Amino acid sequence: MKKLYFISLLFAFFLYGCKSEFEQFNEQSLTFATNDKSIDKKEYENLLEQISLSNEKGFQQFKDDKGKIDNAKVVSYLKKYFSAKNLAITAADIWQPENTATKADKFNINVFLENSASMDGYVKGVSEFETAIYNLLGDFKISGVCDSMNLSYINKNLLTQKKNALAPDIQDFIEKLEPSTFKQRGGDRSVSDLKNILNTVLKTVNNNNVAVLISDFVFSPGNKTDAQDYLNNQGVGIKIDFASKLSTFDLSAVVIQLNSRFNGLYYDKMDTPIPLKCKRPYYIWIIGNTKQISKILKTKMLDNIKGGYQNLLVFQKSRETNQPDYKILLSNQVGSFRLKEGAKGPICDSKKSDDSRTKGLFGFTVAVDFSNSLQDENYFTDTANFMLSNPKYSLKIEKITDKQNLSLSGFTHKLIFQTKALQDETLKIDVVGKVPSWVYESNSDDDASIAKNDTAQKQKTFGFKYLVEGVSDAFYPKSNAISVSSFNITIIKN
Amino acid sequence: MRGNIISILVLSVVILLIAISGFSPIFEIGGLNPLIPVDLADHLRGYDITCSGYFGTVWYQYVGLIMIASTVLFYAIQYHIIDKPTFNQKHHLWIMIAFCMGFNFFIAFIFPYNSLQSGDYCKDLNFSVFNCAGFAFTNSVLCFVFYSLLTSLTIPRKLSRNCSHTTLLTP
Repeated sequence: MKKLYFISLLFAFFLYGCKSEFEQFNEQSLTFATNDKSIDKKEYENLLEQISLSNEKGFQQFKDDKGKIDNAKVVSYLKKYFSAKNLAITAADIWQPENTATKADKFNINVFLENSASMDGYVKGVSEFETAIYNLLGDFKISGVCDSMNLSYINKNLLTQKKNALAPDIQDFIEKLEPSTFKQRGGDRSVSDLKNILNTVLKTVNNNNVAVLISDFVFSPGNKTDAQDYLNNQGVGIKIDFASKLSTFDLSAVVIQLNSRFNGLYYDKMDTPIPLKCKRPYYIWIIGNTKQISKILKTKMLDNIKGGYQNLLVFQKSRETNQPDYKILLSNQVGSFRLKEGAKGPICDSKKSDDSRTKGLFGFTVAVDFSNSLQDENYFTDTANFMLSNPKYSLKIEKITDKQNLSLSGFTHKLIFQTKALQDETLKIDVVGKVPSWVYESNSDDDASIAKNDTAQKQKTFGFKYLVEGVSDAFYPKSNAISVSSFNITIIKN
Repeated sequence: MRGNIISILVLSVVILLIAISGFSPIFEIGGLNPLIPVDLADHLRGYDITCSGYFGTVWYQYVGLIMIASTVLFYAIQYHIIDKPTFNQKHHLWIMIAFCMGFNFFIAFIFPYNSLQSGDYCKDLNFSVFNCAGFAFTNSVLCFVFYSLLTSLTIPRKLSRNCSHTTLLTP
């Protein structure tokens, strides 16, 4: 009988010894979470210690290339794991090390509001324009990234209104604004020389100063010059100014398109004043270094702009390509494959479909997390912004909206690939920096018909594509497609 | 003698295979086992609950080790613990094998079935109760093969006082 006990004991020890460190980590975190429905500082640090001490494969998903633990990944995993175990624990219930901004991390914000005559229509009465800008500047002030704020109007000249502005100054600067005040505050309001304005603003940008430029960005060629030549020249000039700044500075820029009620005179390309009462687009440009822009975007204050924005575009100096987190999904297979080494691939034993509807096709779906990119998430839904190393693959993109699907949790987009030409290869997926389609949709080459009942024209901005293309050419030269995000997927047939 | 050599060779190959690749090639018979479909195989290989990779519990390892340990245990009970002249016939061995197979069927069935019922698996994987039974059947067949190999070896059997001649076919 003693022999039997001994063998049983040996059996039990033998089974307990099978548990991997990652399983023990999972069990430990589950115990912590079930105790008090939260993970406190001590418990979180205990879990971090387990991650740092082990080199097991499961823990590698929490570490970067240098072996540094990414707290965001740990919290995201714990959230997913607890959700899978039916524990109602949110990220707020998990203690996380705080990233408090030190004084050295803060910067000054120079706000430039273009006050050429074409802007009067946005400030008549209380408009969405005034509300949105007032709200945004207020958010800047309280966000913790802003050290101080200087307010200026800009047209042909720079008219500084207030240095180190306080809340009442912001209110005076924008909320109480009327066309008559614009006139009073002066400068030459007759033309919008956008190249000159951008150049002046660019000069103020450095590691301590971010610029916020607000304008309708409508070019004013005037009636003495050829509009097309003028737009081309302005585009080239803007490109040179930005390229010159980029050669010495880690420049990034955000372009936000918003809409507001407009009630006033619109000046078309011939400088003919046209009375308009409709919704019109206007733009906020935020220019700074990559770190500053990244900080502003991370605060999510742009998402809180009153009334929301229409589109957002980020330009960033390409230093190193961002490698997003991704995983190949086992669901939605066309044909069949296996993931013998995990969700990052390689895709093994790949076979084309025999199904009558998809016969001869091979397809797979990849969930990608683009949330770490500075670029707006809509940028990643446009297939035109993607470049595949094998053009025989077709690509469809879907934004992930299903928050209940645990398998997709922590990912922002689904990339669906299909091909008829299945072969052994490493498929390189690049997201390239280029002008998004909304810029072309918002562009007008001729605004003479705006007075007529042309609703589409009223939603467009004269010469906008020349402006954005100029900036884009400086950031992403056409001679060399610049990848802002990239990852590879290896496909093995058998 | 020839049977002994074959058994030792087969066991050595199996042990080597387990040491190199784990239990998955044994259960899947190199991907040829129709009773274990790809999705269940991925779950048993440890595809984790968040569908991120093979970071979860490797059920193949648990079930495989339990199968080996339980087979050794059942063998030891008959040959070295009970070890009586009244329990050394071939039909006694067949009874022990049947119990061992039943136990291993239960073990191999209960783990994936429990995952399936509790939702404790990657939802991208599709497998059914029927597939769990297929895996359980495979495990019980492997238990039979291992038990047969073990009892065909003369070395451990000779250490038994009353069952040293008990095999599947004798006495």
